[in-house]
Amino acid sequence: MCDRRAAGGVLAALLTATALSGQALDSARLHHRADSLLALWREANTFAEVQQTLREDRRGQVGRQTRATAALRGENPVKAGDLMVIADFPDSIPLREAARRAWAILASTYAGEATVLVSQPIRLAVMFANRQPITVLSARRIRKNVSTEELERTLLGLAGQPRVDRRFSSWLGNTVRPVFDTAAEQSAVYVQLVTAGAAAATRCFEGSVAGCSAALQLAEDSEFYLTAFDALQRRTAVAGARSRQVLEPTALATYSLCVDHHVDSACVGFLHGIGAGQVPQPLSSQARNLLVSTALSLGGVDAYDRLMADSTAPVIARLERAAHAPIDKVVGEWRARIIAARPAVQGIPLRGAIVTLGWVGLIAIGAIRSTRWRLS
Amino acid sequence: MSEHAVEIQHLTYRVKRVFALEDLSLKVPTGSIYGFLGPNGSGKTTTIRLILGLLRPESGTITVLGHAIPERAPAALARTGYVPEAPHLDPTLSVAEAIWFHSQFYRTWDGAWAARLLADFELDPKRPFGKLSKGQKGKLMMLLALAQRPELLVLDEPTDGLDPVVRRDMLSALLDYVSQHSATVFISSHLIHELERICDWVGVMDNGRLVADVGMERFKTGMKRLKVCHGPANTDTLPFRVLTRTTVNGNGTEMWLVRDWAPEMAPAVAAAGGELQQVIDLDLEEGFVELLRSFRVPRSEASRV
Amino acid sequence: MFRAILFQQWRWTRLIVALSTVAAFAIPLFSVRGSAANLEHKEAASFLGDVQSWGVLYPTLAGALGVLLAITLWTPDHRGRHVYALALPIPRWRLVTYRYLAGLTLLAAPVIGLTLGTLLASGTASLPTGLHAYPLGLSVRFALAAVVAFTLFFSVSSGTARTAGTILGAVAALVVFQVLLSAAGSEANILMPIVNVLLTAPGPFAIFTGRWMLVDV
Repeated sequence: MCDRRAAGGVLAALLTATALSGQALDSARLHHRADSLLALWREANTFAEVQQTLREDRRGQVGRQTRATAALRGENPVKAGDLMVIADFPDSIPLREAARRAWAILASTYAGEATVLVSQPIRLAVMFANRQPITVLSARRIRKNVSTEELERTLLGLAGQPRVDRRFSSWLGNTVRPVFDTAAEQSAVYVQLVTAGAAAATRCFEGSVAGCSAALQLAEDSEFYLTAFDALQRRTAVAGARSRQVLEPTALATYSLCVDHHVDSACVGFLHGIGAGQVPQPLSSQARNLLVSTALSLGGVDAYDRLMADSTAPVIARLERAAHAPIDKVVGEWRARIIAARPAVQGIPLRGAIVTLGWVGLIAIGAIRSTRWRLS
Repeated sequence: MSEHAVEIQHLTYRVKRVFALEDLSLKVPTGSIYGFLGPNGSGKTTTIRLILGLLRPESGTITVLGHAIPERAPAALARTGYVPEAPHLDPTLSVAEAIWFHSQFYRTWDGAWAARLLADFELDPKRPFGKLSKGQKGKLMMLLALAQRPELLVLDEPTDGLDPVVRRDMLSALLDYVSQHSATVFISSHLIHELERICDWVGVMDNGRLVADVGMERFKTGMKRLKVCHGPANTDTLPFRVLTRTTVNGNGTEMWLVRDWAPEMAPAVAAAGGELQQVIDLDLEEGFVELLRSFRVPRSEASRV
Repeated sequence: MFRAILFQQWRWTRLIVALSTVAAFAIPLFSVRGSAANLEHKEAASFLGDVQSWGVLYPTLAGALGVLLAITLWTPDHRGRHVYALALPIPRWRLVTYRYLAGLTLLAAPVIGLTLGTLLASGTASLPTGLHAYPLGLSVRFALAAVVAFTLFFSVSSGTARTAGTILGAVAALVVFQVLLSAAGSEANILMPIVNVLLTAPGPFAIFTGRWMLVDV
């Protein structure tokens, strides 16, 4: 994967350099050049795939070796499904429960890929004091008083995430992450829907599935700001994207038309000029990750495999294939779960009020029973 | 009604390691005006605060108007008017507001009489308490104490530092009330001449002890200085009490300070072998000073009443 | 008797009560009016940010109000050494109870001021989609916080100077001990656990923590 990325990066740089200097080239030459580069990219991609496969085979053998070695050494690892964890003092931390939970999340999220992720055992060193040395340098330090939730997160983090193709990761903004605390994440996305400052997010909040799709940028449109934002929001995006002082005269003119004179077409042109990557997205990667998680939960077993089966397919198609449902249903389900996860309402804090009144009563009784009934 | 408005039995009060009061016993007859005398720091104010339940004794019992103190202090305080040593009202309240506030706590409050006293004392009802003169504050405190129609008045140096006119006005109001309501008055003061005129009982405190607790007339008339020649060594057989004996000159003449004297006791001196040469009268103040002086003389030469 | 005590305490604390009532009424109005530009553009995120920044004033006002009121109620007595109060024909526990209830009654004014302010602010502001106003919840929290602060300092102030000195001395001793531990290179922290216990539920000051938002999702 690193090689593919490196190859892709180099080619992207080349393309960029080409684009910058391309003003001097005619379009025919540009097309020819692009074709050559595309062929090069495909070769590099194939090469990287072969390397990746070899590496995985090697890892599998090593993983099998490591597991066997561990058994021979009598290290007594903790197992949950295919997840193996070796800790020096396993009973001093809630390892079995954390491993069980972590494996459940990995398996439900990544299906068959989960086994690949945990092919190597995870090593932990339980720390009883701050400066205690550890014998195995590759082991992750863990506090003795670690909670089950913290340990679960640590194991998930150490297991990592499977590779994701460039197209999908470009849309998602990351790899597919397991959702650890569903309620908390859904609540956070709820807040994003309300405070996003994007017309599409507002329409989504108000019930429009099309609005949700636009906010989630499912169309993979580089000019998403035309549907996700209204004119005012585009103007705000332009004002926030750049400072006047750093703009060249041409760009400055467009900027001024947009920000000072409220010409929407100028705003669109400016945003187009700086590129989609510079424009704030209506919803975060966390929201899109939750959508993926929704699709996987709808799709059941092997949903992840279906999601990653065709790296060239559009995101919408992949989500539909994973969920075994049309995209509107997936998005609708995602929205329903988000809306249901509205953060706790700041109404009258009943429990807090009872506790507070209890303290008030206690302290008041202390005042009344004070021994100051005489002069000192 | 109890015979005594205030009864104190073997009262002991200590401030840290120092005894402020030691084995104090005292009875204030109901309906009397009891003068409580003593030098500064003798324990007068402490005794008054113990009587009112503002302080808690180490040992001993206190009964005020039949109520045990401090257990039933509120019941006793409802029938007791108190004028403290230092006026303690809220300085932000006006005279009228202070009167209203005070009246809310006493069922026996006499509003008409409070209004009359307000006029008699010439107090401006709108003036804040904090802006009153010392004399005006004293008058207001007396008004508050009297207007609640108490059965017992406890006054802690109420006229201390006040000019004669104010003192006269306050004492007139006090006597006026006492004469109409047969209340008991327990008043402490340095102004012995003032107490001499109004009190019918006197108690003298010195260094936390009660050195005298006797009727005023008996105290005044019974305290004498006698010039005696060749007086007997042992005076225990005499009908009066010899407090101190001081040699005047080398020929056997002594000056005796005595109490409980009566004129008909003169022959007893001769019968004891002495010659009574002169009987010198003492007023209350002289008697008070001599009494304290005798109390502070070593025990072999003096006796405590 | 209660009326008299209430009147007296009102005389002592009227300035504090009046100023805090005005402040309590004004803060919610400023918190939404300050975001008028944002309201027009309906940018919920920046609107919430403004509301949140004003929100810190609510617990501050509640705490200050409770402390000042409690201390002011007992200062005249401390000055006069409690002679007048103790000489009244009323059991001490009843006097303290009346004083306490009178203090609570005086606290009602700023609480009502805040309630009216929050109702007016939330009623007149047009909120972005998805945001809601919580005037009553905020008012109840404010009331509870003020009552806790008032009760605690009322209790301390009603005691002897020795009691107050003991409490302050204990706090000072903890702080000094922590400083000495730190100076000696120890990593032990005795203050933070105590602070955590006090500030997190079900501690007595938990009501002060968290977000104080008139408007939220």
